[in-house]
Amino acid sequence: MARWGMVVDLDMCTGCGACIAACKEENNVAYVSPEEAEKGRAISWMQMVNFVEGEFPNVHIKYMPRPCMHCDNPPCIKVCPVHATFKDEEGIVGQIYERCIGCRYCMSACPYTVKYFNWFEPEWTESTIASMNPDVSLRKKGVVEKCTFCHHRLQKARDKARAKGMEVVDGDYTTACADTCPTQAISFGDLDDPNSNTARLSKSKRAFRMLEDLGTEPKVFYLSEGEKNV
Amino acid sequence: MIKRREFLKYVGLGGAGVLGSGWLLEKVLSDSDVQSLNAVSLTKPAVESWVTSICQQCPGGCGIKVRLVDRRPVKIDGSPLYPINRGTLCPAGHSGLQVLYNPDRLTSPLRRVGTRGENKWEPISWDEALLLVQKKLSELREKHLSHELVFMDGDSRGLMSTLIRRFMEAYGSPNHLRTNLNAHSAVSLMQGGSGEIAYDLSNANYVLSFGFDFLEAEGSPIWLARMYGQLRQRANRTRARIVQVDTRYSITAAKADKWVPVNPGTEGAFALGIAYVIVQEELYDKEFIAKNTFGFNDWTDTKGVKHAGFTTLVMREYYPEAVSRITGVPIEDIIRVARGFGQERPSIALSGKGATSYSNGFWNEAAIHALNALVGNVGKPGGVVPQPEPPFTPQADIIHDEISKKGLSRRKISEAGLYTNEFPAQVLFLYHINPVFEFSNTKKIIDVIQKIPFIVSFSSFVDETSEYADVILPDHTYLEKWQDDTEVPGIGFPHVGIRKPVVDPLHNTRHTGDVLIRLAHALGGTVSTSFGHSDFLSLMKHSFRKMYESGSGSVVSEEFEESMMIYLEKRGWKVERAASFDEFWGQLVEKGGWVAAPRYPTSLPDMFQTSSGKFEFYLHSLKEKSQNKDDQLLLPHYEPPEFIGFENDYPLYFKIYDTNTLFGGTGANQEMLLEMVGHRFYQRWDSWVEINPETAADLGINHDELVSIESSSGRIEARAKLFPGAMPDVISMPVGLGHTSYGRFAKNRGVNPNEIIAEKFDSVSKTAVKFSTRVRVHKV
Repeated sequence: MARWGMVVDLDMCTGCGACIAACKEENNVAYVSPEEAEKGRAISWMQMVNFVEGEFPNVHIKYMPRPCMHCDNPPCIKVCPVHATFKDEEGIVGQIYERCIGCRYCMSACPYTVKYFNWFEPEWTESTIASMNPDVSLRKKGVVEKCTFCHHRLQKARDKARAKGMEVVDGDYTTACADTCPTQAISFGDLDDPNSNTARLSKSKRAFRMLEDLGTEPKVFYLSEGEKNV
Repeated sequence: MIKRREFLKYVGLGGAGVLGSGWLLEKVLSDSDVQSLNAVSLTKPAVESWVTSICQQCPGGCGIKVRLVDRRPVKIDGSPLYPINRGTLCPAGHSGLQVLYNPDRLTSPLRRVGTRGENKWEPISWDEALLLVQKKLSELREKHLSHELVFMDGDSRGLMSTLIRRFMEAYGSPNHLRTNLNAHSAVSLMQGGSGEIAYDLSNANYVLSFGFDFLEAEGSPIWLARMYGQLRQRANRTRARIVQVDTRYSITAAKADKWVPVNPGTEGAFALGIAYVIVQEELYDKEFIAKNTFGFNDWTDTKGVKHAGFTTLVMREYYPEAVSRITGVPIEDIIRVARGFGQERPSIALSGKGATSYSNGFWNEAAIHALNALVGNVGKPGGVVPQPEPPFTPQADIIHDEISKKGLSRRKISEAGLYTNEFPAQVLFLYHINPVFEFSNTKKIIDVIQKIPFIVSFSSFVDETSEYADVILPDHTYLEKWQDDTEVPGIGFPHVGIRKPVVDPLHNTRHTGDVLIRLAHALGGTVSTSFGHSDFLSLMKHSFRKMYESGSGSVVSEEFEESMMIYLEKRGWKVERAASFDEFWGQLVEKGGWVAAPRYPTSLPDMFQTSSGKFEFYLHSLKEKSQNKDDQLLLPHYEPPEFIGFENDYPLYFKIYDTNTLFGGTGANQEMLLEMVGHRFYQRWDSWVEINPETAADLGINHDELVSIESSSGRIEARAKLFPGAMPDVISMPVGLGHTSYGRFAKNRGVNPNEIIAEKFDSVSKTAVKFSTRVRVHKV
């Protein structure tokens, strides 16, 4: 069985935000009002986190696209009182919206702050309602939502594979963010498959994970930027 | 059988795994939402299909594939077949359906009923609207004032551009004003030709970029981002070095190996400082210089007059100490960058808006491009290469009558003419352009626009300028129309993208190309006979015939197949082709485009179409134009930039920049892009201004505080972002927000920095430049 994971090469990432946009379109992520966005309530399963270091003229900014880490040891599922958030056999951390009671314990338990709460009933405008992806259910007020590693795509890939009597393997499916990345900085695949490019990259010397010392065992790996000198 | 627990998991993770899980959606939607969704028929099993086309959210020309469910577009992705973007896309590309389904789109032609700018309209029929326009055009021609029809065109290339030009010529007006020209004016004088060039970045080893913000919104962003990826982690090659010379720590500067902040407008001086070191240390390509350039060394003309060469000037004026004084760059940085550029070849110098948007932009570009010649990196892999055009069947000659001949003999008005009272327009056409929002000093533009008796807009939305129009003839959005997309800036191989209707037009809109053809036919006489085609699509088919007949290139395909095609073509083979034109056309439309191998010149003189047949350090053609006698002023040199506003009153330089979301403002009617606009500053739906923390401390300004920015042309307010990547005396703002019209999402969000930019023009090319304004900032 596959163990799905992602590798982001920060040396190639240009912080363009294509992953953010692709994710929002793919997963029917709602837009909050500008006023709510101002309060930090905008929902975006993929975020571009940046770190500004140094002072003029020796300034350096690091950009890191940050989806859910899909931890192998996820702190969020331990605190959920209703088992709304869980980890499946292939390592994907999911959220069952129908079960979620909106207590937001998982949000505070998540060290990566990648869970988002629907504070209000989503307001769909004519611009957004018409282009809904019929594969992805919508979320209502009072539930927590998060990156699913485009699980609906996995389901489709699995249907296809099963029709041929096969299992889903590396390369059968990819996430919307990895699909669209202009520099191909994001790669997605089976971390347990020795032939997988993603698995190979995750073992690179440049590979690291966010807040690794917490023991959450994230399945999103980052490759550090190349040496910086001229 | 699926257990309840398992089933809920799937529901939670995103739908039931089959298309048409409509009941799930209905559960969380209000009644009205469900009603609008019923149009999508989510309650039945749905049929999925994909259609290829070309994006038009920016001039990047990426191929897209649109996912349709029951023939309704639901998602846009990059087309893996298209060579510019190979399956990838940027944020704006993904947001395209918010243009198609935008609630503020115009649904029919409109006639203004209120006063200008009041935004009151009545819908009219196409026949009525076209008759109105045709009458005005006929009147003007009868009065022999055809040259007073002005066509402002912000986004046309390929056949649409040809069509507009043809319309204007047949009608008899020289005033087709294009603002999207990518021509590098200095490059075109140094090399000859149009100045359309491409950079072969994927093969370069050292990239020295002067204000070319290639990871944000210049050129074709996805193509350049892909090249960046190759510069970084390409197989079997060392990691290339990138140096960004800019007045702002842009995303490109952040991803470069080194950021060199220079004083605004001194980019050219920095380039000349590098030239000094390269000449001094003899790092230049001696063979290339001797064979293929003119004016490097001192020379004597046919009359025996001695002229100073480029080296003489550089060695005399641009020694590191002098350049360091001008640019503010430490001497050791100048030397280090110069040595890197001279040694780590192939090295390439890029010039972008950041270097050319000053009054001395022409000379900055000339100095920067001179570096490419110094290292002999013109017309070869890893260097500056020509931008080839696809083979199109020419159209029949335009027929001129006396009126059009007379009209065409009039002098063409310039962009600068807009700001004076000489602007002669009686009738103004607006196509993909919004001068009241986009041009410098918007207040003055409004005054000029107000005076034009009749204005026709082809916009799909009511934007700021359309509010002053008399008639709006709404165009389709790019997802509803036929169009070719060629001449994408900076792509070094011939290509044609096929933009085709992904969906039937949602509203009563019309293709502007069809409208122009119909107007021409209605005008009658020679104007009519100059248009042999009944609509734009038949014009496209006619023009593509030569592509088929020439046998070069092929319909776009997967990356591997394409590299095979290019491999064969370079070796003189012809690739397997369609049996008939109709078959070719069918393939072209289905796959979405055509591509051929890059054509590097077989010999350099082909590339240099100058009077000397060589790369010119000494600009012969400029001498003819300006009657300039002074040699020094005809060689790449540093001309101090001019700024508007005295330093005492306005101590800070004001820089604006395009973002890869709003692209100058056209993206501001989409929720997706507004939410993402400042994702690098954690700012959504609003403008901001970047200020150096120390400068802010001096002014008593805190992070996120509202500040007032004032120039001699006006005053705006925006939120301050203290940013160590801002130079102490430069403040920067993104462009694209601050609409006063353009739909419910765009209206009254943020501010428009163009309001306070004073009008200024390049000293040589006379194009408008926008970084020449000084401002003062204080807390509100």
